[in-house]
Amino acid sequence: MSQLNDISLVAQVVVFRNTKAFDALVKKYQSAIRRFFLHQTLGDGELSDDLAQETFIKAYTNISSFKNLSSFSTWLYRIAYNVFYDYIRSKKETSEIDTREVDAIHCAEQDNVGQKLDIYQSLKTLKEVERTCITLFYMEDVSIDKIAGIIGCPTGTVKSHLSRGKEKLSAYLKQNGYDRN
Amino acid sequence: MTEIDDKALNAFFKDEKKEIEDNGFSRRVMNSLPNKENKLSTIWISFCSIISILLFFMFDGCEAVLKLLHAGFNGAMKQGLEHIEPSTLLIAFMVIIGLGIKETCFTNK
Repeated sequence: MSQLNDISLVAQVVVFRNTKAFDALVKKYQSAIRRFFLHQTLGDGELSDDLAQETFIKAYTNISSFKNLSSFSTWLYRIAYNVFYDYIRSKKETSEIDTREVDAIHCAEQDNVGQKLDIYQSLKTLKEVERTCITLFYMEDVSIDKIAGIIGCPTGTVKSHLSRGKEKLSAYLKQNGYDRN
Repeated sequence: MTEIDDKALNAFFKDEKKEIEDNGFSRRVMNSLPNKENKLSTIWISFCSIISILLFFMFDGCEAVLKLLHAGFNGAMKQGLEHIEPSTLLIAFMVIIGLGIKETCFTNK
């Protein structure tokens, strides 16, 4: 039903350039997309909102290329993923620093300590692609097939990223007393 | 190697699944959409169209077009083109109209 509703809204945007329909899509997905970026940027709210805004603008300008081969949310996440990696690449080109340093630069100053800090600290231990897979899988409840579609990799590769990410997180949880075994 | 526990990870991430309040984000996105250029373009096209129509009627465009068609038809008749099949003329006319429509649509896009 939700999927049908999305298709109806997308059709209104494509055919009539109905901005109200697009507004409904933005309102529906803003939370998920901003949360996705918040995790990728390790809690940088301002940067997350900028990247999320760029994602929605790209979605609007390219909405006629949405062929309904996947769900609208998968298509939107794919744009978000590309926006984030374009950003990372542009940062790399300008500063010639590796991704670990990019992580360190964009790891936000934490206002509060405790679990929030632990979440971002734990995500910091992962490579970007592992972080993308882990956050989509555990926080956004996206299936492995859909993650494969979003990051453009075979499902086996996604499973490997998830497995490696889980190992690193598991080690982090144990080190910090979150282990419940 | 430690055993990876999905439940522990799910519990760890559970609190992070909170909805993020809009707080004006949607409005900022809608204000940034690149539709202002399109609106300007639409306004400009509409303005030019209205001016063209006004000028057409101000300078008796209908009469000029009728005169031109009449002259063309007479000229064709005098040169013995009356042997041409009416269906051929109709097809040629439809092709021209079709090309005109196609050109107009693509130009507007």
